[in-house]
Amino acid sequence: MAPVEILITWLLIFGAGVYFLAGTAFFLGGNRAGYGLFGCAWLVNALVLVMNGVICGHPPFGNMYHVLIFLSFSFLPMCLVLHFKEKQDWLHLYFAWLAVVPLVGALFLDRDVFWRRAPALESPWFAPHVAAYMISYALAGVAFVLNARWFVRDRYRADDRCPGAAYQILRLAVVFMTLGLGSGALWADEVWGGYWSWDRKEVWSLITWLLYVVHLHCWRTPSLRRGAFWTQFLGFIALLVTFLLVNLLPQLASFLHSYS
Amino acid sequence: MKISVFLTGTLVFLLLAGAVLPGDEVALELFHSPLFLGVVVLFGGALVACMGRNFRRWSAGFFLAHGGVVLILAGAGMGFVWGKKSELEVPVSEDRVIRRFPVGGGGTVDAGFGLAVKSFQVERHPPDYALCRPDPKREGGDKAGGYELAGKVRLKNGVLNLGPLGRVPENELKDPGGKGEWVGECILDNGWVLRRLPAMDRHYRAVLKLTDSNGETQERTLEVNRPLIHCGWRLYLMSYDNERQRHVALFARRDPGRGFVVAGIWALMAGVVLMALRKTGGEHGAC
Repeated sequence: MAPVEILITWLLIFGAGVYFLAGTAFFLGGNRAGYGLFGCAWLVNALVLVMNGVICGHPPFGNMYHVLIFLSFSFLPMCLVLHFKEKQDWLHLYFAWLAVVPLVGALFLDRDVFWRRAPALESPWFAPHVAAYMISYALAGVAFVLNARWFVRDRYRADDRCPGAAYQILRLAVVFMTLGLGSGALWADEVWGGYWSWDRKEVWSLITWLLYVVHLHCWRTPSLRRGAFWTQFLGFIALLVTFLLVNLLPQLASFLHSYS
Repeated sequence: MKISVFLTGTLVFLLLAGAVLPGDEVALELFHSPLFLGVVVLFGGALVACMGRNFRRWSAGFFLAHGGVVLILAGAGMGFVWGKKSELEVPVSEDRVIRRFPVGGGGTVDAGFGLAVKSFQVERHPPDYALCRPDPKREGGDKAGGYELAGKVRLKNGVLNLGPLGRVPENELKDPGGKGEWVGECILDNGWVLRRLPAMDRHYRAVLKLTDSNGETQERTLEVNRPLIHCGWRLYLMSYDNERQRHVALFARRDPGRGFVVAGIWALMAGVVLMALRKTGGEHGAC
């Protein structure tokens, strides 16, 4: 392993550990310590992101390892957006704890730090497309945990705040998901000659988007609100298939997204 | 609203069926089947009805998002009915002029102009090198098997930095025989070996010779990622013959609905952003 890869490994372990401590601090009510630790872990995460970019000389979104680093990186900014826009100041622990997961995942992946962009990826749409999707996945992950918590623990309590917060998070997630889907279509139109190719990953991403859109509509319609939990639950499963399984299972292999 | 949700659910179900069906062609058949297209048309109709019902409660985000989807569906429908697409393998030769493009079903279509590929050029990144150390476990094996990978190194500012093993300048790796090639293997003083890894393409371009029906000829450069528009066709440089660079793979598309789809995508993206900026809360059951 090259020295830079060893350094990145240690930074990932450190970053994941501090994210976890930040979440624990929020859980125990130590908000000031939580903010400090969350910020510290985010800076370490940002350092790894910048290192990846400097090493490969491109926006570092070339492989699963790269995008997991960005996925982790997007939790804190989105947490702040929700804090200031929607006044949701009790969600930090979910964002901090969930930021651990991609970093731990990145530890077990082949870290091809010397990745180079294929010519088809040399497009201004590349970075916004991947970044928008990663931000939406981070938000959808937090919303899923909130809804799961509500379903397991609090579904008989009328005043629970989890489903409402999950809805606000998913409103934002769908924006980024739409930007990811739209930018991907515009990019494909420039590179592959068609905005839509019925590639497996495209189909799964459309399924995911539609399920989340249905979720938002169900939530806003009193007679359909009962179905809102299940649509977001199915949406999250579709998201996992889009993000992970399509690349890993040969049966679902995606030709156009073979770079990802 | 219930109808829209039901139609979206049906659409998801059909997409799911296509996504899990083995074989791309079977899935494509489903997505082009009358059943699927019928559901898509009904879905588009439900969106139009929804916009009509909410016409008095004007909201830019709502209309852009919903109207954007309608535009995308309308444009995709136009492309499906009247669009033409063709995959071409064109030899790199000025004399091989193609005037008819092959389309699905074994037929051809008159392109309206003649196309030949005059020249083709690939730019490659400098290769990375694998740094290999002698593997004591494999001692006695052949040269290829007697080393293990210690790491990958990349040229930066004309130098390969090997850390404690020192630095190898670019001129020691490039062009030893005067042919502009990179050395395949370089043995270091301590017995470690640098092995060249395959160089990746940076960019590729072809010079096309386009002859119009009036005999007028022009040369235009077609680059990967940058489509070229000629006589209503959009031409894309997809790939090339890797070994000898004797032919290039082009994709040609003529799609009257493309403008609607692109406008619809922009409208949808702008619409959801505007809707997200609105305050949350409230309920609706208008459609």
